Amino acid sequence: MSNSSRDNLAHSGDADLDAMFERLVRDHSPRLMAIARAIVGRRFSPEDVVQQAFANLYEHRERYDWSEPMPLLRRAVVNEALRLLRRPPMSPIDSVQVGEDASPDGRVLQSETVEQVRRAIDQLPDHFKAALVLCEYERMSYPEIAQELGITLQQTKTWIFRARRQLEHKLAEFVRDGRSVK
Amino acid sequence: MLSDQDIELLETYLDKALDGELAQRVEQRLAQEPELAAELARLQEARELRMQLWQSYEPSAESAERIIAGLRKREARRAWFWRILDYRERIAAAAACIAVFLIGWQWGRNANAYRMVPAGGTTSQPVSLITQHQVPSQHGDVYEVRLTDADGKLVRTERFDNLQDAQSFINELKGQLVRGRNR
Repeated sequence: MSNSSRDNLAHSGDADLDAMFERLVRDHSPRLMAIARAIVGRRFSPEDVVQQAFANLYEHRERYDWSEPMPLLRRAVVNEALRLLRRPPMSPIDSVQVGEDASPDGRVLQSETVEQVRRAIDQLPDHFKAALVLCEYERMSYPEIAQELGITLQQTKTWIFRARRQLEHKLAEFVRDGRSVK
Repeated sequence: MLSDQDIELLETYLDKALDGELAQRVEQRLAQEPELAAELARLQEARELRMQLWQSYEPSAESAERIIAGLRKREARRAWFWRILDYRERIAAAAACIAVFLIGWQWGRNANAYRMVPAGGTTSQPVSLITQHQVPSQHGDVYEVRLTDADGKLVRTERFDNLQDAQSFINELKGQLVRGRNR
């Protein structure tokens, strides 16, 4: 981001959103929505999570260094998602609303296996989900994840490893249950 | 049968979090141990499934536009709120003026409450000050009670031969004053 763009972002006081900020939303929201969806599952709308994260950042935009926006945006989304999950559970939102059936090319997820993976991931503890999605989807290193989540390196490794083991057990359960139903 | 440590090692290898030497050792083992290589393939497959799922969460461009629209709406609301705050300052100033007016009006009403008719007197002008003076005369000292209105203008003067009479007159006036205020 150029210096002038950064200045624009930091000092725009108009009711209209800054053009640079709008571009940030357009460029990064798909990935951020996926991260949010992976963490909040069906308990909250990922769109609301991302919008709130952007709103928080926009309100205090002069405080941040916008030269590297993605880590900042990602952290805001992860924090917002985990903050929401700490609230008392609400009824699951409509799955169509979260956009999981409306992927970019309009394809519909029909794979039973992927659906089982989704169910298994949704049942993981929230912090495990956050660590796993940052590791595998965002391809962040362990130290980066530790910094992002505010935990130790050892904790990060433990969470990711346990998340994978728990997923395996869940999937094995689903397969077993599926067979016994048949 | 692979141990948990082996699986963790493979996961760490896939995360590219092993240092060079350790990664090389894993690669050597993979070349020699088919079971380990099969496990690696299985883990990779599981990751691909997860990646497929996460990628399916990436929304359409419409979603970004909805977020922008939502942010614009919030920003407009925020701007409106700040405008209201400006109005609130104006409202507060107007409220202060009204408060000052009301206090002044109430004070004026209280001052008017001193309006009275002295016993046996003929005036009904408001009295705001009653003073008592000792005045020398040819027949010795007399005591004078002066009634003054709000502008300081002398309304009435009463003379008494002794202090006791002057004071009982003042007390009577005060009594009337209180009764007049209560009326």
